[in-house]
Amino acid sequence: MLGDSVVLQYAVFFLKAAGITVVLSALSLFTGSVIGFLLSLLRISGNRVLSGLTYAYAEIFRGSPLLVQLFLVYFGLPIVFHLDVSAFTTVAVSMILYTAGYMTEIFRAAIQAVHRGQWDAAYSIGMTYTQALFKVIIPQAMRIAVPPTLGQFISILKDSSLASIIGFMELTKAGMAVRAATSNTLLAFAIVTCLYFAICYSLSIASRRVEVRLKGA
Amino acid sequence: MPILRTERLSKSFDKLQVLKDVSFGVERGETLVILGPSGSGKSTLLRCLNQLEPIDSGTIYFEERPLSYERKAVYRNRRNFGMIFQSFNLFPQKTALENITLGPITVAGTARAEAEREALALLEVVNLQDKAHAYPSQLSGGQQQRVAIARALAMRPKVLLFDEPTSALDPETIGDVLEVMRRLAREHTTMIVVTHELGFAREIAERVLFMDLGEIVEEGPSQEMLTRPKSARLAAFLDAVIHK
Amino acid sequence: MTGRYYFDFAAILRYWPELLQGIWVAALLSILTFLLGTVFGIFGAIGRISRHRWIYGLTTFYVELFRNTPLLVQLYIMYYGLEAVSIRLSAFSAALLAMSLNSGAYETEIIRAGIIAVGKGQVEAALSIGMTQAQTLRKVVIPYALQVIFPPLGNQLIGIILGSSVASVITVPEITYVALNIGSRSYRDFETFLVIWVIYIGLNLALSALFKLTGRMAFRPIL
Repeated sequence: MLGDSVVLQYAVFFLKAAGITVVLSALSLFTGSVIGFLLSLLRISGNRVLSGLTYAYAEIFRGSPLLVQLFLVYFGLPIVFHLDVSAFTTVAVSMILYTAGYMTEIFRAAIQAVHRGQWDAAYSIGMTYTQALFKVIIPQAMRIAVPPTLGQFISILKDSSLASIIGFMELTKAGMAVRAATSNTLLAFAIVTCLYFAICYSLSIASRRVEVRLKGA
Repeated sequence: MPILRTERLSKSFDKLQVLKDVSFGVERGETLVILGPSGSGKSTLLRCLNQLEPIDSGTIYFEERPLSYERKAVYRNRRNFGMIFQSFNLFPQKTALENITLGPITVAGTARAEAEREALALLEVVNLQDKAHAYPSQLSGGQQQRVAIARALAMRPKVLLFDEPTSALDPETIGDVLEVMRRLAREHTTMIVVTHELGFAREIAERVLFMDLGEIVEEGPSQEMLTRPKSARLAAFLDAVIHK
Repeated sequence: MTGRYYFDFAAILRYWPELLQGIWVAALLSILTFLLGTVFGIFGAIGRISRHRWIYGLTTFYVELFRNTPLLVQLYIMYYGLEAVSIRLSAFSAALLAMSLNSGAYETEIIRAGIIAVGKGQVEAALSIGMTQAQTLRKVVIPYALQVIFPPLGNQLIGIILGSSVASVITVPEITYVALNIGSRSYRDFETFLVIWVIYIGLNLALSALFKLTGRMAFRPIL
């Protein structure tokens, strides 16, 4: 079999790739959430144009495959914007736009899930719409948004595997590379599968615990 | 001169007319109780007074000036009123003290230290000084409602609006809330109370309004109206409530 | 590269027969995936509410495995992985296998939720007016469960169609594969993908509307 140091090298290689997957996903979640949050504020404002545009954004980016969006950014950035970008940038931009589409719906639903009476109470002590929204409603909405956001993070972790298709080195690409190098297809796929499963499943369990905790309080 | 009065207030929700030409007034320092069966429009009337609900026609006069519906004016107008809700509507992630100080700090620009001092004084008025740092989930219904009253008082409103304040409470805790309301009435706070509690109406209210199907059917001094109702509808309503 | 980019949609729209072919393959793959996935889902749901530890454990393992790993990896395993153990599947078959197992895991949970949603109360009410187990199942449980699972299953089908684009990676000639093909031949990748982006969005909107309409018509009396 392989000598210890070679196994260690491969182990480090896979773990680094897994780390890249997690970092890429976290970046997409964070940035996508910021954009999605801002968009959700537009969506719940009374303005029909802004609300409609935000709704359209969500429908477009949730209603089309991420792979297609990825290729659009991949082909579009150099051609339309004359930008020579790395695979990372392509993937990041694409995933952020995609995630924002989902996060805007999550935040919108969370805001609308806050009990109507909270708006009444805030208004009746003289608060303006903005004060009520930021000081009373949004803090409560954030708690409601935690479980679906965690679920979205798990989705992003899996979706990040598509980055391998345009050559970005993350966990799936690492598996394909090792497969090519060692011709040991089964081992390579087994390791990749186990790593994805370990990350996603533990997050899934954690998410269920968080949900129980939030419901209790 | 009534501090608050309405003139021919009408409002519909979709096709259903919930308020029909409602005209009434309340004097400064008076306690007015509004009675009526479910669906009579009494809660809606209350919510129209602090402009939580818009009206279709009619005018609301506060200190003889008609209320403006321009956005900034509405925010200002609301500070003349304090509202206490059937479901309390305390802010769940804030302590009792924070619930009371949020309005003064955010809306009135009061300094935190001063707002907290006044909030503690108000907690004493409602007998909950030792619960200042409790969260709503740690308080009973009656305690939450008393915190809600303190929260409304913190904004120094000129009129207090009570929307069925005891309907969601256990019989044991109703007493505590009514005691606070009695105290406020004795101190000549202007109060409009929508309630089922006939005992409270008889004891504390100077005048009673009886509403049914969106109209004021009868109004008059509380003692008289409740013991000698003039209209058949009020007589039937009193009969039903007493025999529940 | 300087100067403005000149869009040229005409150049790629003349490939419409191939696009249509791609749509057909995607549709076929998606519908078969959905049907097969529903079969897996029914068995899986039964297993997930079973009281036998082995059956419950096995189905739970299946569900968690396929929901916590990427579809792309599952596709690679069915296509390249099985090949390594001398099971050579065509691209379409491998994609169908991977996607239906994947969808089956999600449909298991959907169907399971539908069964649970019925609740003991309705069943007891039915039994107490003298209905048999079979009648209760037929007239009370199944109609209500169907109503509950209809919207999420509709979404699942739409999800399958959008997910079918990943099958392009293992050379299944569906829409995205065709687009890559056309793009490389016409050097108009960007326009090609804009067009298929619109196609996917259109499919999504059309199917969503269709499901909403069907749901309203089929379940009107029950609601």
